[in-house]
Amino acid sequence: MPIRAEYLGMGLSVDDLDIENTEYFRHCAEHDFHLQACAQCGQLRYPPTTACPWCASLESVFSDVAPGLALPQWTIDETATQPEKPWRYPQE
Amino acid sequence: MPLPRQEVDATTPKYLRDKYAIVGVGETTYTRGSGRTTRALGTWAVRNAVLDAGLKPSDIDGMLSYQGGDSTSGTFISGDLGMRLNFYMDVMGGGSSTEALIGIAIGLIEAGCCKTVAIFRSMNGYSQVRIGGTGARSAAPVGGDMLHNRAYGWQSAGQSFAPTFMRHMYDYGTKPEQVAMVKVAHSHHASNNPKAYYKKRFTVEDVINSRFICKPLHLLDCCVETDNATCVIVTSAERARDMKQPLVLIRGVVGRCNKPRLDMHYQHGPISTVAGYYARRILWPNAGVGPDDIDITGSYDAFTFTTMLQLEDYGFCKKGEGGEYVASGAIQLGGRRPNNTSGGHLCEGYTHGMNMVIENTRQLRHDADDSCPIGADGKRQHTFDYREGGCRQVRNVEVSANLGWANPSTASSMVMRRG
Repeated sequence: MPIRAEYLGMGLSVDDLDIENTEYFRHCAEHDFHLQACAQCGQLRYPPTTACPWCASLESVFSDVAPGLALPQWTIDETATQPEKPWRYPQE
Repeated sequence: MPLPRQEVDATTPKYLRDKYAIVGVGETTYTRGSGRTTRALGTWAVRNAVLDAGLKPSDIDGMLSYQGGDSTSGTFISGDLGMRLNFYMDVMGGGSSTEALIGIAIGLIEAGCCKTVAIFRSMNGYSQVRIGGTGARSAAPVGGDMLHNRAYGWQSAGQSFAPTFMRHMYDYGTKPEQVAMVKVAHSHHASNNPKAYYKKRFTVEDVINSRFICKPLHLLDCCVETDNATCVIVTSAERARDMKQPLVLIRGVVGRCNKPRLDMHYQHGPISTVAGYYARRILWPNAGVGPDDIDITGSYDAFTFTTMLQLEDYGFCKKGEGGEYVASGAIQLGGRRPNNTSGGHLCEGYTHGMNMVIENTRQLRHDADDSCPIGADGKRQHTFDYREGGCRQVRNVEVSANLGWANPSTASSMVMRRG
């Protein structure tokens, strides 16, 4: 059975054939921020993929993420498209 | 960060240069509320291109189109116009598809599949399926890869590209006021284009003072959404020589060239570098020219920043100096290398890249369809007076470059020259 959920007014659906996303969101449901890691070369990747973009291995595990990561980019969206917006940005 | 996989030399034998031509261009009006189907719009545009080429519908034996579930098929357009095709295919794709499909058309003709190919894009981009974050696309359930973008508010093109634009400002000190000059230039061009949806001239202050959509994009940094269809016709240079219009030859094409990890290119840096960085390694060697040889550009302008980033990564200025380049006046009519002389997506209308190829074809024919008077010989007498409502023909233009864009990670491009 696909997993269905409601998020910010949107219907989400994770197909049961989508084993990579099912696994990712299973960790999320347990309140663990785990990312897919290659079982062969160990590189982390996101979003979940079906092979390793670095070494093409098909095998992966979900792994803890070390703290202290940098934020490489950001934006402020004044026209958020989700039907429900739980946040408000201060206007300049 | 590990290096990407081995890079490929995709340059082609030089004899393909000048072996194919754009022989016909056509479009509908650019409106909001076409009042007709994408089938009717497409038929109108393809017919106009066939007439422009001086051909009969039965001379077209190949058809290609691109769309994102928002348009019709070559099946209907060819049938409506009484064509019998030897090849047709409708592909998934938005921006950057135009040059890519021209490359495919060349390949088809080389392979002997057909002789003359019409490429069209038909869309009610305002009144039916909108590209932004509203309408039918935003109402569909979120699944698959969309779980990691739409769910977090990454849906529209502006939302998706904004981090690249912000990072360019961070890396190189690019100023929104510099990039706003893209809108200023294109709006000046559109004011001399009777077909353009927006003909009003704008200033840097107008752009900067318009409301934010998604930082750093103000409303006037974003392109228009319109209803329209567009078409170009490709055939061999040999056939083109006997046709109605001045010869416009294709020097080289790059089709949908990518940064690594195009499903989520932000996973692979540099974030402020776009796919043109890779595409230029194919484009310039294949075309046998470089940026200095180019008289006019058609750098895709879904956003002002898009134009700037592509001009920079194709080498029209040094890396990081795109803001200075577009603010210098070089890209405006009368400047060193005008960009999108029709007004482009920011002003003329949104076509996913086709109108920029149409415009450069007309420029290379020395026949931009502006308001200049038509002489006794039936030809437009260009004044080269670029004041509002006047001429938009670039003087003595010989070589053009079109730089198509799907997103920061995907680019197509093409060099054309006057025959």
